[in-house]
Amino acid sequence: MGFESFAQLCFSGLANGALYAFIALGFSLVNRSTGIINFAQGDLTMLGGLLSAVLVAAGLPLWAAVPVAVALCGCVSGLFYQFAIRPARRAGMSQLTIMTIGLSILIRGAVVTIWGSDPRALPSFSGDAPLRLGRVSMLPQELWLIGALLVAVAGTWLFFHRTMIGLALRASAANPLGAAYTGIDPARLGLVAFVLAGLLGGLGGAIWTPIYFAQVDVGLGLGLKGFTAAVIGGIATTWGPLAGGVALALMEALVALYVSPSWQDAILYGLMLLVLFLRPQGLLGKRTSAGADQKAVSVSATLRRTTLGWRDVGALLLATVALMLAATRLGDTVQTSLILAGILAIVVLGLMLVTGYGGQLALGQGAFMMIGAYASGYLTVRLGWPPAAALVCGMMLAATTALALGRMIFRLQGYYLSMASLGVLMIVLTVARQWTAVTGGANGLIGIPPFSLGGFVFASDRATCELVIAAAGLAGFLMLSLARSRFGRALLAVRSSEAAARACGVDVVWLKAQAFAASAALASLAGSLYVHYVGIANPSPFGIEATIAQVTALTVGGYLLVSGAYAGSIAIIALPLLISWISGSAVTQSFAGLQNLVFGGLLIGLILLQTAGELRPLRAWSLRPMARLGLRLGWGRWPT
Amino acid sequence: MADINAPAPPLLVIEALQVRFGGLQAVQALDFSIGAGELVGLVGPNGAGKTTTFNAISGLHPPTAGWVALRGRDITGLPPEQVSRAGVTRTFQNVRLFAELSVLENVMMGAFCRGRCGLLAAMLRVGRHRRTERRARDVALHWIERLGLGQYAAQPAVTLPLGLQRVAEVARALAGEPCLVLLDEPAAGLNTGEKARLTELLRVVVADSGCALLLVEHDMPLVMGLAERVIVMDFGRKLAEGTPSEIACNPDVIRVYLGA
Amino acid sequence: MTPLLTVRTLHAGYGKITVLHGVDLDVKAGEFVAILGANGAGKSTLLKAILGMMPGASGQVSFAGRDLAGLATPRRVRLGIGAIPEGRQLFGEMTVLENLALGLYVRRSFGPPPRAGAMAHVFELLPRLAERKHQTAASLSGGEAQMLAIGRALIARPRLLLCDEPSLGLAPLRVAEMFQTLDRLRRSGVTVVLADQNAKAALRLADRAYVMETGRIVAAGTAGALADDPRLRESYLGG
Repeated sequence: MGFESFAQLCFSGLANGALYAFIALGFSLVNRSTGIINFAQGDLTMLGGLLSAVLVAAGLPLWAAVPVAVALCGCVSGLFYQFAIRPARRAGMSQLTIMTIGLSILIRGAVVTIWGSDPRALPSFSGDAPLRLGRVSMLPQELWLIGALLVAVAGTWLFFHRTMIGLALRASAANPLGAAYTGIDPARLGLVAFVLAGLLGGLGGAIWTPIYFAQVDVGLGLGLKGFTAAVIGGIATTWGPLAGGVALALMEALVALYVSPSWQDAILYGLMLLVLFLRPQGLLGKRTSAGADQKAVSVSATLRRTTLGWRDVGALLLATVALMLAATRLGDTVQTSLILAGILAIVVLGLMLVTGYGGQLALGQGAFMMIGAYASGYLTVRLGWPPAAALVCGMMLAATTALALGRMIFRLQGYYLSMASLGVLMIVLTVARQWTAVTGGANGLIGIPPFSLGGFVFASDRATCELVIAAAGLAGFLMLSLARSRFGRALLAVRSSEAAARACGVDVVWLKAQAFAASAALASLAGSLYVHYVGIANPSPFGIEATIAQVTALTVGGYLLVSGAYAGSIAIIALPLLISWISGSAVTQSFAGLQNLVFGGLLIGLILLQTAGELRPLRAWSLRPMARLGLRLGWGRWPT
Repeated sequence: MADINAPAPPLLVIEALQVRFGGLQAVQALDFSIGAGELVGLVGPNGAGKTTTFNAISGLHPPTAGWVALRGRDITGLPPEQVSRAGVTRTFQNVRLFAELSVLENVMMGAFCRGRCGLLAAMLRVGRHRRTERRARDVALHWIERLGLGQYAAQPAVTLPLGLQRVAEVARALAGEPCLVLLDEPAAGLNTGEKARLTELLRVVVADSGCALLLVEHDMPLVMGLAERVIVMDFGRKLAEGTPSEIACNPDVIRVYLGA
Repeated sequence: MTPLLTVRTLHAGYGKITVLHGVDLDVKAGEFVAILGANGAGKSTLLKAILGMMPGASGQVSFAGRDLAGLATPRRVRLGIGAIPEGRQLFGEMTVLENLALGLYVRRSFGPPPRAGAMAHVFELLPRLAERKHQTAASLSGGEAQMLAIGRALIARPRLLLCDEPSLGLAPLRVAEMFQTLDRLRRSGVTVVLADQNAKAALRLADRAYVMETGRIVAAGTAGALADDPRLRESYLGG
């Protein structure tokens, strides 16, 4: 390859990188100021482009449409902060992060519902005639993007170091209590950060859209890329997002050229994992001193049950058996829903251990589900193993993978597990799509036999339903048993003071890794059961959408409550049925939009409800009774 | 054959201990030893490196050079979880009880290092897990009773007043069945009456368990009344060592510490 | 003369546990008032409640004739109540200058941070800080960090300064230094409320003092009278 084409490649990469850097900058801004990882950043970017396109299509001139769209993005972000994050700010970081996932879904739902999911174009700012520099051609729009980015980065530095508000934002992120003593109101300043992040996102999207298109689906992918860029470059640095964005885009271009575009994701997210393992502060970040203790938990902590009595086990057993008996008399739809809910519940129970007790938000349980699914599929279809053996094999594989990953990732504190687990999910998804010899590619492995155990084949829906209920009951028992043991105590102890827990003999990394492994084994179990039920293993049921459903179910049920995992899972499965029944429409595009709106609203609304107990009395007029009910249901005791 | 009449080897030996943070020599060339069941005070002005020494022994901040040996076993640079298993537990200057756990559970956490059962055992409730839990509960209840926390056992630990929180931390440290407990300013923030009670309790602890105590404390009367031997640190070095009465009339000590 | 700070029947606590059972307190402008009492008596809680950090507190707190009910901590700080908090609460990763600049946040929330020149009055009182102004707060020793906490609270020239155990965790020599600084403060005319374990030293500085026990004020009076009260000597000064 000649120098020119290489230079051309680099330049195109630079333009893409500029977009990633824009998103990374937004992440970094919110994270440095409030500690929150804003998963809606990519969707705000998408929204900026899409709104610009919509406004231009409605007849507004370009020079007016773009600022209006950008301002609207700032408004959306600011309103979200003011009415969702701010009232719930006493909640834990995991919950606030989940709220931003809620916003991401809400934006997508709203966009699909209002404007549909077709791509929309926007004219370039200053024509499409490419500029030439030697043989390298560049679009004027790309220069716009790069220029805007440089201004934004410099502005961010000045903001954080040369303005009182910027200093105050840094201060309140580092020490909120100290900030209060100096008259800083962190809750108010958060609004500044969110509005700025919204503006940044919108601006990046609006300038980028003329190069490509604005489409509702790009938001999530862009968000992940931007986040990856921030992590690679160093999220708490000024130039890190910029460097990370460019590095990521260049890598992308090189991988597409020399390896294969279809393996791009696996390699890039692998790179991100590598950075996380080797240099968690990012390429440009300075290594900070060993992590301080996490903030103390609220004083009103109520006591958990500490022993596992026969009453708990009896209740669980009774419920399981009753449900199994009832399953024989239920209609087909209900049976199918129960199967899906049971499988979801198994995953959510595992998630509860990592996220609820361990305080680490895991977003990649789908990866372990796929390990189980493909282990079951491959071993039974290709090698003729009995399903039970394949299932156990998958669980062990998933647990080992999680243990290895956990040993690396839990040396770090903070948001790293969310990132790493998402990265693993992306990698496994790519492998599942591309490694056709084993996974059957996008078509999947077909002809997976129903589950069988000791000669009994769970062929009918009824039998499968009973099997899944029994498995979910067993998983519930195991989790309950863990939660009420020295293991559960140790997990909670680590959350209040890691130093003290270590001085008590708790190997923190090992403890969290074990919890993660247990959750992975459960996810794998769920994946195996699922593919035996549907008869085919393919990647689509285990992607980001599945992650969102799992996190929503956990949120609905409550972080620390085993019975909540069941209730949450049933609610998540039942909701779409309910929506389609009410709206009278089948599974269509607008239905997907509606469902996203409901899920997003649920995520945000429930966390608001769960923290409403601490709201000032006057504003929570209608929330309080419901919050009290929520507290009674176990929502009140959330990890901080 | 070992000579039976030879003096017992010391419990903890520290040799040429050095801790550096960036360019700052927080602790340098520190040597001392502690005998079994001994009550030793470690005093010195603020910033003299006392807490740093504690962190170096307990593994929170491994030393940059030097040795720490417990009962003849080299424990230098072991992570805290292994140090506690080896037999050294500690309390913290600003109390660090587990907010979401009761007093009993907090003290039971202290026995964590004595348990030998992993996730699978806990999950499946095998006998080993039950025995571990029962033992932890018994040890915890013993110390809770002995230190007079009985009526608070079921309360969330963070609702206790500071004085009792400090006692609960001592109980937690003792539940690990240590041979040496490091107490980091156990009397800070306590009033005269509470200090006297704490002194009594610490005497009880030594008499009951036979474990040695190393005590960092600013309250000189308390240290002088309680410790059998006092080590004085200044600027990361050992300035003096001796019985309380020797220390009280050591001119160097008077100069840097008492400011008289 | 109406008092600068008035506290009436203040109740406050953590969750279900009430720590303060109806506290009354007055502080006149220019006074140095000490609050004495054993740990757990409620001194810290009282200062936190005055600053609006105790959710669910009831009773009346008014400052310069204004009722503070419903105002969050930052608003109260903006009215002129400065604080040297328990545990200092500095911004460890930021420089001394930046920490001090943030002390001025209540005066100027917008625009660029003030330069070192604008902080001369603080450096005059606490010369050690001037030597360390480009270091991060985390790199300071305990005594210097406490000085920074004082400087950060003073820089905005608060009308009332609440000091919560400024000598906690300091070596005796540093404690003496700390009290000298407080003495200079007193002479410069700042109104101070000091809660401290070190009753002897506190009484030497104070004009008046309140003695707290289990969440109530059990004695109040001029510092001299309290220092001579044999009953109080016995229980709080250690004989």
